[in-house]
Amino acid sequence: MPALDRKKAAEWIARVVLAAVFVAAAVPKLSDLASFAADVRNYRMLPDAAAPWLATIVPCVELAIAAALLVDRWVRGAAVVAWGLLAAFSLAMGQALVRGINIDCGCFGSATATAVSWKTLLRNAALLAVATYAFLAAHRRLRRDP
Amino acid sequence: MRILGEAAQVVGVGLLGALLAFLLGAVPAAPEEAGACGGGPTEGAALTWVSPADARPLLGTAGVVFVDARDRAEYRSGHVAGSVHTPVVGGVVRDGALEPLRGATTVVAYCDSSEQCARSVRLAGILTEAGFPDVRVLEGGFPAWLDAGYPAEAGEH
Repeated sequence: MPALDRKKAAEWIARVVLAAVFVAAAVPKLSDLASFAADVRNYRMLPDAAAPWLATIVPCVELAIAAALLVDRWVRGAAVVAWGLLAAFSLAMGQALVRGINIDCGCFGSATATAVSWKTLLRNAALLAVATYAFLAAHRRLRRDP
Repeated sequence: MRILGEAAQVVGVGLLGALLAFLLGAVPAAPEEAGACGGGPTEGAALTWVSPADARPLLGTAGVVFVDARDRAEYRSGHVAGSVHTPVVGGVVRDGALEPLRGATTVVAYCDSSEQCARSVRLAGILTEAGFPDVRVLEGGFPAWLDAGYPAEAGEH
């Protein structure tokens, strides 16, 4: 397999993996927005009144990211938004860990109950790395062959 | 610049989705009077309120049980460490729900802070009627407990 094809394949794997993770995260949240709003409230970072709105916006943006990651036209923008969202999640988890609050991370809505931990933070770091790779790989390729 | 434009389009589509959810009435209701419930002259003389700071030393003390009056999803999302889940639905608890609390000398009831901690106040009433000697209601509910950085945990027992 030529090097260029291998790079393109790796880029697509990163994009599809990231898109799949965002779909898996968004669907359970959308199916139980009230539970996800409770998860958001427990982070104690925003006024309680903002939690239902954020709980609705986040999964919608996650689905938009997932779809856009699979289209060349929007892949770089999607990777940037994915990066920002993952960084925000990491910040929220980090402050909960520092404050010693053991709460459900809400990462996959009510589909799974996973407490915020260094493990969930590490998983986010890995996804950040995938988003970074997807962005750089797509950016290089699209600059070369727009 | 072009990449930022693409990013803005992605966020825009997400926001449109959220707007659609709002128009369909899918956005969950925000809790009322958040953080407002607590001791005061309107709550009635029989009710004993306890602040998170005063309740914290009680956690882990023999004979003291914390009970969570919220629904299952809220409890699963996070609750006072070691608390017992006793949801109040429609102003009542299910049959046998008080059995795990038997033998407790002090019970601290809490919920979120909506409607002046209505569910925990109701639970406190039920517990008092059931003969528990020392029943208290946590001021500010679970949000105030979290704000104070006191022990909490996720999942179910």
